[in-house]
Parts: sequence; structure tokens; C-alpha cells
Amino acid sequence: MKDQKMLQIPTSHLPGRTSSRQWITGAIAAVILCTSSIARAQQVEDHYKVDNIPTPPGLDPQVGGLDFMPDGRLVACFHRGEVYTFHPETSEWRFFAEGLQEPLGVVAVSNHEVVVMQRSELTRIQDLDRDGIADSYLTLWDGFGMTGNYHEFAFGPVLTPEGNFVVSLNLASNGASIRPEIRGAFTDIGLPRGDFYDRPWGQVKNAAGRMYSRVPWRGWVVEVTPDGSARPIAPGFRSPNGMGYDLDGNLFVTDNQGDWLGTSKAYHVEKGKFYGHPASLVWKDGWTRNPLDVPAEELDSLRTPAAFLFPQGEVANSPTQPLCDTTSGAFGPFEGQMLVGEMNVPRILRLVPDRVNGVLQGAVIPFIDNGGLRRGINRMVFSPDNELYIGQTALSWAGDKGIQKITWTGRTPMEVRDIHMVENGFSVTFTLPVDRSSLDGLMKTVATWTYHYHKSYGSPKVDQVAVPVTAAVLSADGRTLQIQLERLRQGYVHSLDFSGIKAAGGPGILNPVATYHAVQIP
Amino acid sequence: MNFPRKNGIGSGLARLVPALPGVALFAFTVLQWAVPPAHGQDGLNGGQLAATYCLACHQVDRKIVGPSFVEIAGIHRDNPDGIVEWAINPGKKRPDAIQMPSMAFLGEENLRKIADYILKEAEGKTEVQAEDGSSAAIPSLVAAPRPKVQRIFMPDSGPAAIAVAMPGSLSYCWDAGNCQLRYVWKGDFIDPWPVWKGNGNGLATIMGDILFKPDVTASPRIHSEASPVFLGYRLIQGLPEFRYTLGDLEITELVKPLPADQGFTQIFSVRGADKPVLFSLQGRDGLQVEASTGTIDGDVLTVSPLNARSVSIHTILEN
Repeated sequence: MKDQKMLQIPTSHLPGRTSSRQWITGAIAAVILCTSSIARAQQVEDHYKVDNIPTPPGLDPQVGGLDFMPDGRLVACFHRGEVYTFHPETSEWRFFAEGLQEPLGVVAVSNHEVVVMQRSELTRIQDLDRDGIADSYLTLWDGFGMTGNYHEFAFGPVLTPEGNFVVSLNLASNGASIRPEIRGAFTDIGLPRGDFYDRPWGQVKNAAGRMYSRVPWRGWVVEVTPDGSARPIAPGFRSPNGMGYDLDGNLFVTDNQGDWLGTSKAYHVEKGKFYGHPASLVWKDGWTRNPLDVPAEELDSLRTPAAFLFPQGEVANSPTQPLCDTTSGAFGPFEGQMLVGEMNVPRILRLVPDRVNGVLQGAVIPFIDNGGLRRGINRMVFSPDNELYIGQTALSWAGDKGIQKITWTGRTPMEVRDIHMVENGFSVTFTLPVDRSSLDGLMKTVATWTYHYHKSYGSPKVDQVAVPVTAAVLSADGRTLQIQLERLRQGYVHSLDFSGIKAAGGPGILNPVATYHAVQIP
Repeated sequence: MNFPRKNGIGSGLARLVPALPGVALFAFTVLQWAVPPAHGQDGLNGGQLAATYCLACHQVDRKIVGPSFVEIAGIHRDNPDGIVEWAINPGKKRPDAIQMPSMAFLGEENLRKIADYILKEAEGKTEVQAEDGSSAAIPSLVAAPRPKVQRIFMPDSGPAAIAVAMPGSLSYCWDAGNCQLRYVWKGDFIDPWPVWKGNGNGLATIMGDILFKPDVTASPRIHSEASPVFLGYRLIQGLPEFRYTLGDLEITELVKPLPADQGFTQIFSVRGADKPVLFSLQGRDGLQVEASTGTIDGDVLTVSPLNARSVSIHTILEN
């Protein structure tokens, strides 16, 4: 028991969970452990190895997009508009294209063709004469508006299961106004265009809204076919810098804490639904009202809640691309789950899906915390050899730059594999059988809370209640733990802290905290 | 950790007034209502609060979107209330910076913890200078090898601008929003740093003298009632041949320099015309203009549908 207590200490990486005093105690304990050679806590490095990939010289390696070509070359696009390919076997970078406007996503169509989303358009870039360098930049879709506001990023594309492209369009920020010349139709709802120019910005910025949609499809996710026809999928997004499909063809989109988002989220996106940030509603057919005048209660009744919540500062501040583990087990025990990058801290997260009353929801658990990662993890892609390549950016926010490669060592970490909400509690499956004696330290309560839905920036945790754990039963094979709670709270975050849980004959759990969003309860 | 609600703010405000004209007037009002207790954040220390709410935009020793803790401490070292006041009701000091959102929802007590944390973290540290983008390791575009194509926010253009450096000393800006040549300049290319240094809240700087700038908003390049649809470009010896449509008209446009950089040639191909195609020559007053085909009358070049399949318009900027 003494060992177990010490072993759990270094696993609590999440800010706010460990006091400095605990850290010091932990450090001393760790030293004792190491010197006495009894055992040692499992570390990220035992399971996943992170290598730095040198980037091409002469460019700013903030990464906007990553993909693999059919011939096994990595293709990457960078902040200043370059596209390069990288051969993993020879480590050779080759120039492919340049001159793009803040590309933030790439899909490799063939060994000679990529599709890139840049600020101004979705572009098909081809090497027609096969000299290795692109010579054709065809506009696939530019039917969305630009006001020139800095925050109007354009994200994507990701491939749909049918082979179309999905892109997402950031709202503008009232940290700045619009430019004299714009592209696309302008809506005067709530604030005429002239006011953007004629009145001091400090006077009108609140009327615009903290994040605003003045030109078409800002705040929307849009699908574009290979022949360039576009159909909007859904509104309600603020800064949706991340899209990805799971194995069942469900689309997940991340969005960033701010106005109308108490904390960052990942939505399960379905056509025609509304995902909560009201600015983009102005582009909905037949919509005429100023979204800022619509009562929050009414908007709340219209919106579809997020499948996953990332508590700000504890789990993630700016989640990025969700990428499905499609490696059939070659990248560890999390096949079929989504991995999500994060900008502010060196961390990759894992989305653990559940379905309750037909609604997709689930838990966020850190996948790799530190372990040699840099911050600013913006894009990720699996190589043909089932390594995870990740690219970093900052764009003047917290972040970093460069490319790293993550390889599974073949050793299975002790982690929560699945969480299902059941009547009166949770059924939790671990990657390895649980050491029964370690259950003595099982959590006594589950922290629950929710967030405000309002136009102010962010939200504190509200209505926090520690719900008592009333019973816990481990299955005969030691893999599945049934946890009974005094009650479940619909619409609330349930934070389950498995600190202290050990694998039988092995180390403690690596990432103990699972943040489950109970959109529905059974 | 009790924040002096009236006196503290008042005294801090007095010092802030010269720096923040216009902000001071309603700072008092805001404080009377806008600082609810932040349930849920209580019990977090300054460092935890900063990690949650500040570090995305502020780092300890380097400027990112917002100023570093070191810079903030330099301003508010003797007045932590000043940090609290700013966080509740942020102003805007730098013209090229993004204005911070109000953090009033955290409540005065938490903001004071953050302020103390900022001052403590900054103590004894100096700011690390970010790369200025002009280092030899990352060549700028100012004197880039030509030809060069760069899509970037440009002055006096729509936001879907394309900057092109032609061989020699001429460059131009082509607007993919309205599919028109916007202006031509002579000298170096562009300084993209105002855009590239951050998140795009800037315009590239033209590194030369503008010699040609038609009023395109008043006079379209090819007369048509239809809206242009941009289709992209193909690189021909490094120079872009733009493709777009105007209704039934399918158009390509390639801009090349004339010998000795005396001017430039626009090579058009227009297909699908069933009546004469009218090219505007507006903005060329005092400049010598020649066309490979058609007739020039005032500011308009008229070309038959057949000949419109290949039209070169030479604009001589200087002899």
C-alpha cells in the first residue's frame, strides 16, 4: 500500500490538482523509490516516444496542415504559405508549392495533388507537368465572405466518408473592425456596415458582438464537393479549429472557449443543427433578427449541446484537430477513439465516446501529457507505419512551431479505456486489469458542475456539487469497474478522478482524470 | 486579500487617467455592478487562475498576443490595482494590438490574486525579444528571388489579394475578389512582416513606388453586368495566369513586364463572347497604351468576339 501511494504521485499533471507541497513530498518519495529499486511509476516515455522532425530551412515552421500522400510522403503546409513534402525514410524535404494565404489544413489527393484551405479559398494544387513542383492553383470554393478581420481564419479541409471536403469558417473578432473592401454580401443586421467605418470602434464594438459574422458562412461548417459546389452543414461555431470523423462516419468539431462558450467543446455535428454561438444564425434561411437580441434562454432551447467539454485551464484551453485512431491497435489500446491536440499546454487529449439515449457524448482524458511534446499542437496525421505526426503553431497566441513524431513502444499504459454512463453511475473499463487492493483509494466523490451559456467571455464553474460514490464493484477479470453514484446530474460535467488505481502487478494509472459530459443520463 | 473596493480603485484610477482618456469615466460604473463573486473559481491560487485565463495571450517573458508579465509589471509594479482595473475594463494602447476581453467575471478578489502572481512571476526577469522575421534564416520577401506569388492582405485591395513580383523591378497586386489588376509598383516586392508576425491583423507593406493604379471600383476591367467568379491560376514560367468568368465569358489574364521594365503587358483570352468585348483602359491618363487588336476610343478598347481570344494590352509607364 505504501508503494501504491507513492506511485500515484507523479501521475497528477493537471494544473490545479496538485499543491507544491504534494509535489515536494512526491519528489522525495520518488527518490526513495528509485534508490530502493522497488518499482517505478510508469511514465509517458515508457509507452509513447516523441521525436522531433527537423523542418525545412528558410521558413517559419508554424504548421497549418499535415497529411500523407499515397506514396508515403508527409505533406505539410506552413504559416507563410509554403507546402513541402517529407520522405520519412530519407528525411528529405522537397518544396511543392508556395504563396498561400495562411493555409490551415491540407488533404493529399494523390502524389501530385493536394487540396488546401487558405484564408481566401479552398484550393486544388496540382503538379501538372510532374516536375515535382506545383504549377496549377485551382479555386475549388471561395463562395464565402471575408471582411479582412484578422480572426476570419478558414480551417480544414477534412475528407468526408463520401470523399467531399469539409471546411469551417471562423467568426471575426471585435478586437478589430472590418477592412474598407470586403468580399461577399454584408449583413446590416444589428449594425449597419457604415457604422463599422464611420464611428470609433470603441463605440460600436459591443453592438457588433464579441465575435461577429457579417459575411456569409462565418461560424458555419460547410461541405464542398470535388466539383466545387458547396452546401452549408450547420451554424453556431465560434473558432472551430478542428474537424475529424470517427470510424462510424460521425463528424466531430472542436470550438474554443469565449463568448457563448463557457469552456472549450467538441461537438458531434449533424446537418441542420445549431451549435450555440448565435452570430452565424444571420446566414440561416429566413433569419431576420439580431442574434444578440435573442434571449439566451431561447438560444439555449435551439442549440445542440457539446458531446465533450474541456474544462478551461484544467483539461485544455484551445483544443484543435480531432483525429481518429485508425491504426487497428498498432498505436496502442485506443483504436477507434479520437485524439485531440491542444494549443496552450504540451498535451494531446483523448475523446472517449459513449451513447446515452441515442446521443453521442463522453469523456475527455489526457492521452499524452508532456512526455517531450511541445505546445501548440495544431494538426495531426497517422503515417502509413502508424506513427502519429503532429504539427505545432502559435499565430502569436500561446503555442510553438515544428513537427514531431509519436511512436507507440508496444507497452500498454494503465489507462481508462472506456466509460459508459449506466443507471446510477458509470461502467469503466481499463486497459489492464486493476489491482484490487488499489481500490481502497478509489474516489469517494465525483465532482460535478456546469457552465453559464451567455454572451460574456468564458464562464466560471457553476453549481458545483461533489456527488458521493455509494458503491464500486470490480468485474471478475479486473477490467471493468462499476461505480455507483448517489445521483447523476443531466447536463453536467462529471469529473472522475482515478488517482491511486493501479494495474495488477504494475504501475498506477497514467492519466487519472476523466471529464464526462452528461448531456443525457440513462 | 481584501480588495479595497472604492479607495483602491479610486487611487489607482487617478494614476490611470492620463494613460487612458475615455476609459476612466465609466470605470467606476463598471466596478459597481460588473464584479460578481466568481463561484467555482474560489480557492484557486494566482498561478492556477493565470494558467486558466491568462496564459493563452500572455507569457511571462515574451510578448505574444498580449504584453508579457514583465512588461505589465513594468507598468504596474507599484500598483497591482492597475492590473485589476485594466482586466475589468481593458483599454487599447497599441494600435496594432488586439484589445483584451474583459475579465470582470472572475471578480476582484481573483483578479487581485492574478495581479500579485503576475508581479511575482515577472520579478527579476527581462523580456525575451521575439524573432523579427528579418533574420537570415527566414528570408523576407522584400528582395525575394523573382518571379514570386504571395497571397496576403494588401493595402487598397480586397482581402483576397495576390501580390506578384515579376522578373525585373515591377510588381503588382491582383484582387481575386473582383478579379482585377489593382495596381503596379516599381522597386522591391513587399514586406509581409506586419501580417506574418502575428495572427493576420495587419497589411503587407509595398516596397516601392506605385506607378499605375486605376480606379477599379468605378471601372471594371472587362465590361459586363455579371459578377466575376475566380477560378484560380496556372503558373507560366513562375507568373500566374489568372482564370475567371464573367457570366458566359471565360477569361484568362497574364501580366508580364515589358522590356527594360518600361511597363507591363496584360495578355487576355476571352471566350464565350457573342458580341464585341469592351476593355476598360481607365487609369492610364498620360500613359502610352497599345493593344494588339481592336480599336481604342477614349478609355475603352473594343475587340471583336473572335479577336478577343487573344488580346495584349501594353501599358508604358516610363520611356
